[in-house]
Amino acid sequence: MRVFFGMRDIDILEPRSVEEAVAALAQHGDEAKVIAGGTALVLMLKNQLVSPAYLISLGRVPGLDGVTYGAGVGLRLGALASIRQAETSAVVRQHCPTLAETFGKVANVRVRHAATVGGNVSEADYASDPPCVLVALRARAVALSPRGRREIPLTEFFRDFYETALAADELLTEIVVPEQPAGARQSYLKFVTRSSEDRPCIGACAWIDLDEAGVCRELRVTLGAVAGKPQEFAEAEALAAGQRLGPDLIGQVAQYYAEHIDPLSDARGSAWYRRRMAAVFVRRAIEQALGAGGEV
Amino acid sequence: MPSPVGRSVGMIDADERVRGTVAYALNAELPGCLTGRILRSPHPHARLVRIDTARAEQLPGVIAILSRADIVDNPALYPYFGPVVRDQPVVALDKVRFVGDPVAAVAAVDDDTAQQALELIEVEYEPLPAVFDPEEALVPGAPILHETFPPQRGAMSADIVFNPSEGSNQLNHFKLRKGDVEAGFEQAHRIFEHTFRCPPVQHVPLEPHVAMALVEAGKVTVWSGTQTPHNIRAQLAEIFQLPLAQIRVIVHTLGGGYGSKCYTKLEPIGAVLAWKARRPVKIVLRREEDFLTVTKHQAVIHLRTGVDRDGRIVARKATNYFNAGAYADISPRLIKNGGYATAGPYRIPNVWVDSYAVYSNIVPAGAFRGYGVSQAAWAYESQMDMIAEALGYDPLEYRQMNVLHDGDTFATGEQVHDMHYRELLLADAQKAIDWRPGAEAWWQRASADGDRGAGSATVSHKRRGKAITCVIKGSVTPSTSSASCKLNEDGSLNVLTSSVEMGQGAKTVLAQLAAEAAGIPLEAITVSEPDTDSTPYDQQTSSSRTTYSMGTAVTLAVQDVKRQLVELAADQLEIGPDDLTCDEGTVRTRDGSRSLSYSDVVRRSRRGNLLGQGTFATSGGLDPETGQGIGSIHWHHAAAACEVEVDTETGKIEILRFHSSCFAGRVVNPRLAELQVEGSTLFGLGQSLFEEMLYDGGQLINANLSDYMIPSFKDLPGRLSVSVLEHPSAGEVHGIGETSVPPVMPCVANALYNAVGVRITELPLTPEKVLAGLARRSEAEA
Repeated sequence: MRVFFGMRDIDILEPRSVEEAVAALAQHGDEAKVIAGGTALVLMLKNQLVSPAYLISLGRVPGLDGVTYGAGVGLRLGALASIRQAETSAVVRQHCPTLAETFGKVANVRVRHAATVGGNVSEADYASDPPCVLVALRARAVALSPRGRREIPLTEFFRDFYETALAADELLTEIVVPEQPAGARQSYLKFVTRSSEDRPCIGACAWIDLDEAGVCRELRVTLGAVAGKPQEFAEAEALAAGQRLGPDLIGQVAQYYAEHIDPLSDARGSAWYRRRMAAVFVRRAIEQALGAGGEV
Repeated sequence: MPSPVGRSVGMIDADERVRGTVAYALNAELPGCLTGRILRSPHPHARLVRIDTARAEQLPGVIAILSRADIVDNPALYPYFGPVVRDQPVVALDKVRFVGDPVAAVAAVDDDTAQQALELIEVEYEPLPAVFDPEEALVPGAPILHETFPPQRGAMSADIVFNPSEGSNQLNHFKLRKGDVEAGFEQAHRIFEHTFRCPPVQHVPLEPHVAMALVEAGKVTVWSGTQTPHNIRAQLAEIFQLPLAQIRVIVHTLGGGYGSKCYTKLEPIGAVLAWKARRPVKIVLRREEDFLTVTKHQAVIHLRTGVDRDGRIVARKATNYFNAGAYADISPRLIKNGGYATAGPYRIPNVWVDSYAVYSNIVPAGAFRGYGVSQAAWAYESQMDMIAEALGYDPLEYRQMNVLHDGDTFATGEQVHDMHYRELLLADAQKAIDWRPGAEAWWQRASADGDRGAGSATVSHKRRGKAITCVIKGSVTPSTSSASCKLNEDGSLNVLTSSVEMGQGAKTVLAQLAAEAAGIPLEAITVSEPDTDSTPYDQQTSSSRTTYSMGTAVTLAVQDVKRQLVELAADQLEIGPDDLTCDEGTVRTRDGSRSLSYSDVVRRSRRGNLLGQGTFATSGGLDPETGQGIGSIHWHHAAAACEVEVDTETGKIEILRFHSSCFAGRVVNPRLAELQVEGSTLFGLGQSLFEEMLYDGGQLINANLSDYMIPSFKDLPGRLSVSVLEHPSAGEVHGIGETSVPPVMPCVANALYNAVGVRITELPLTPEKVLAGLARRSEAEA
């Protein structure tokens, strides 16, 4: 099918299987864009931010919309699962309630029904909620190409504004969220400065693994919407290892983030403001994650 | 028969609305209709050097391209429009004046072809210096948008005084001079001076601007989503130099208006394109184009207020700059309403207002729910709390002390009646939020809660504050509405009106008023959509005037029919007309012995139907030099009350509860009235907290609904309540369509202040501005 959209003719290809989709992408590579829910890509096409000759629609590709849990593997979110599906999935709610809640914070329910998990991750929008949580959970993206299958840790997947580690011929098929340690607890705070349905001015995820005594084995903190990709500082996280997370230590971590991010300015907040919000929301996210775990 | 007036009957078009079958202009179709698209200027200000449409014309499927070549020196067309001054060309003639200014238009067989054709039109511009700020635009040497006005046609509305300053960007100047303001300041004990600013915002109706036009056999027909069908007719008659009777404007129910669809917008370019194409053409704006069509006025208001030793306001001087954008639209009138409004609903003996409409190179500003009063109220209601603090008064008591009473003189020099601020509006607002006089304002609470430090570990970082505000708003005066009705031989009644249904419930309340006047059930009434070939003149569906003005005209038209019914029945019953009454669809003798149904009377008369007509025209107006006179047929008033919670770590404001009180005189439909007030409140909350059109060098950078925010249902206050207040002494219906917008913004700002002591004088009240204010406070305290 050929359509005229965004000031050019576009051929829409509708592969019927993952293999056909991978083959189409391999054939058209740089000239093609993959489209699933279309909530982001259609706007980009309309505004001529992208101008592909081919759209590879995944609408007729079966088997990529599962949301499952496997012991020892973790959660597997098919690239074509809708955000709403991930939000309401019983296994996601059971094994990673914070992730389910995060999906529930994307846009509004109408958008969440159309938008997909794979689309959200591969768009790599800086002002989106799921990426920063998936990074903290050390999720992996599964990519297929004629060269084979590879798994890309999300810590390496996001490169910059709308830039990912996917090669032009690689199709994102799945996000794998590994089994989390028994003592791990997480929180995600989305902070909006305008309408409730706005994208985040800042998103903060805290991931904390505590031992039985309440001592921190490992702390991860990721910040979304402040730079081109989710921000994480190992030096700050390392401060917490082997420590009890008291107010002073939490304050130090929060301060480190505030000082080390290189925040952007947009209509949701200036760099000045985002730096201050980084301090506030790193602290609040850690406090909330500790609270979520119950005892400390 | 019990009158349907005063009852919350459901909207008479509710069924169509729920089923999605309302015939919006957006969905209108004509056989052979072409798609129209508009080529817009990428420059904020430029001379148009060359336009070449030759390549675009060769594209298969392109039927017509409209550019200045079709208009310049064409004696068949007058190329300008504008409701007051004709300064806006159908397409750019010599210059473009804002990013988005229409330069050419294409009619093609489909949208894709039209869009491709736009890309093939070659335009050469010579960029000119541009100016965007209204005060900078008045500085000598600023780039001038309109060096001269084109030769004018037609008339402007009776209420408008036009004081342009040719050769400058001053489009109009409204003057109000009451008392001796300098003497007032001399006797003042304290004088307060502040400047307040509001950004341009957009109306964002769900349905964008739409126009479909057909020009054939010397007749122009336009289907338009407009709030002002008769103004469109008059403007098209000027452009095509045809009698009014040869122009037909048909209006379907609108998917929202809020002022954005007042006066000519798309109709001239659509109709002239259809004229050139010799086929019907339909133009539907995309959302980003709607943002480039009309906005609320950006404004800067300098307010100087003098008070005596007892706190009474004795003098006020206001200098208001309203940014009109590139074309006049209705700015010349709006600055009047936004001018006298700056006095607020207060007894001020000496008032001096200079209110300016100023051209600049941004999107033209026009009517916007609140109509200039929002900008004025943002200034004076913010300042009321600032003065109350400085003098140590409770803000509510300070308002009660200064507010207008029945029989007082308003800033326009007219005596005001039916003023219910003290005993109704402010009392209602106070009760709604449990305002305790002497204990709610920041300066009164500072000693009570010693824990004001921003968010230390031991103290909650949330602070609460309350506020109460009140406003006064006029309705366009003088103005005229006329209606007619047809009583059919089965006793049913057609009401013919040019009032536009835009979701506010115009059809429903007009049916209720007609049913009451006729004494027949609501189900027997059908209210028309406007069609200037058949529905009588109405000035405009705006200014909160339909229920009052058109409602009165409809009532008069029905009474006209009843007079005829009685006369005919008198003949038929061979009895004197004075011995007859009309009710419940029946004409009866006063002794009840004999009767004829309306239907019987019409049938026996062999008239086919009885035609009634009613016209309601208000009079008044203000002196051009002093602004003294009758500003409004009656005055609308409203109050607002809210409680907010401020996160002192982020600066974010949460609206815990909001209450709007609106005076309605006599309520026709309580539920619809409440919905109007609720809608106004939410409209104001968006503007309070985040709505703002952002420009970068004249380029609008958030012209879409991802980057420009409007409130969602999740932004509703924790508790939202409204009161639509009546008073036994008030026989008249007061308009309530927009009175509750202006008090919202200063109410939130004052509650913010009472929560954390941060005063913000520029909307919107973003978390960042609040946090910056908190940071300044703590620096000052340290």
